[in-house]
Amino acid sequence: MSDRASGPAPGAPRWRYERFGAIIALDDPPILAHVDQELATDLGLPPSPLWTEPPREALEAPVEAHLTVTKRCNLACTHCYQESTPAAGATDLPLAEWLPRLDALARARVFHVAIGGGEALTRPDLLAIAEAARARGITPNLTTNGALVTPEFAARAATLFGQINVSIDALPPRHVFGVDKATPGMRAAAALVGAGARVGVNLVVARANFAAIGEVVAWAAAAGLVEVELLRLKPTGRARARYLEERLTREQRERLFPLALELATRHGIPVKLDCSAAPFVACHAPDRERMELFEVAGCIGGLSLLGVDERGRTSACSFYPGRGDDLVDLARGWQDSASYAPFRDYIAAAEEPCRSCAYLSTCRGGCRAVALFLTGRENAPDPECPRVEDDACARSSAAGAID
Amino acid sequence: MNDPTGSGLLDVARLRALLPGLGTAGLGSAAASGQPLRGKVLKLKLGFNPNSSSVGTTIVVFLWTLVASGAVLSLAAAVLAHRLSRKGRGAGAPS
Repeated sequence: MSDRASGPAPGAPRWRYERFGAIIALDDPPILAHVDQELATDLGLPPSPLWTEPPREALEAPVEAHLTVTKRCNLACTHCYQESTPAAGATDLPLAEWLPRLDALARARVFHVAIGGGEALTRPDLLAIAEAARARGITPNLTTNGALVTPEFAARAATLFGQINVSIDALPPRHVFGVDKATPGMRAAAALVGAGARVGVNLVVARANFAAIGEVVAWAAAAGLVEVELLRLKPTGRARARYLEERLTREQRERLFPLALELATRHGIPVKLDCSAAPFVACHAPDRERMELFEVAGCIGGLSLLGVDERGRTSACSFYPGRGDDLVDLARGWQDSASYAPFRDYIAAAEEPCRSCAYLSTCRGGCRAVALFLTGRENAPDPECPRVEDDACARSSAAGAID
Repeated sequence: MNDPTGSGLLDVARLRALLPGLGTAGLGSAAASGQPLRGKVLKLKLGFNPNSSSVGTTIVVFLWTLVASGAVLSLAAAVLAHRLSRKGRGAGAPS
């Protein structure tokens, strides 16, 4: 275990081999490219023994890990997937125990970590964790509610983090999820932008704030932010209690993708949809090749994404239960852990209507966390996919006719 | 220089307009990308993912013109070539 800087020089390209060729990452501009063996060779990378291995969908290691560095939060939002409160945090790993886990990520050549909580800024050693990631050649990114951002933090964070997203679910005076995150979030965003940070917004989309998306995107563009990410509400943690009342309606689910494109065009700012929204994109039958080329992808849990909880235990995704594997054992766990089976086996075992869907390989059945909550089954198609919903209605009607 | 077909010859000004966040990506001049590259970019992800719970993908790719995909991938390949040669190919390499 060491906290010495051992990664590549800041700004240097980073790369690792994969069976298809290699993945190359740059921070400026922020690019992550999968290249084939021919291009890898042309770019000067020596051939790898991995290139003779049979292809597989899961990468050799995660590209990105989501680190819950604390369960503590200064807020207690009703939709919190971590069930965080100001009193939580007793199970958080100290910095000294994060270091060997960052070493494990560095050995696997993980490119990015997204640091969150809880509220990561409730940890006085947050910057030390991020610096330790940087020192190991891993780009740290951050999600925050912004309430604890100070000018001093903003100044240091601007050069340390690749990007910082501030959580804002609606603009004042509207409050959603039981708290006012927007007032401190907007102040923090201004401070971070002023300090030169690359700043975006995370917006959890639910029934009550769907109509407020446009005003948040307009504000973000005007405030000099670089993007808005729209996150589907997940039935995890405290959000389970009111999920059925707060989730998007069918009409809102179908409207989300065209609305995001309209807002991006109108305000000139990139709008992202999170992986769980893939069924709401696929239902509009977009260009599949373009989806795949630019990774407009559905569930990548256990394929290129790793979740890590506040105790250092891994899972395929932050919204999905793991099996207790420790991040220090990543090299074995990524290859062998049963945690990833529902994710990695989804396509091979896909049920109808996913099995016959043209978007199966990109959407991958929608959100595993939503499917598990609504059906109790790990391998069920996402019941909120419009196509899955229509199929269930048709089957129900057919069964009724037979009865 | 306007070749969006993937041959590696790029109209950098045009691509800058398509991808304002990417800019010239350190190419500096179109001449820096003048050597055609063999092989291809299989997937390209632009930007970071700061969200610590799920992964966001940039759907604005659907707003690009029909020829943009090939052009953007060519630009990405040229950027990688430029950066790997500039920084040294050993940088960040597996040990």
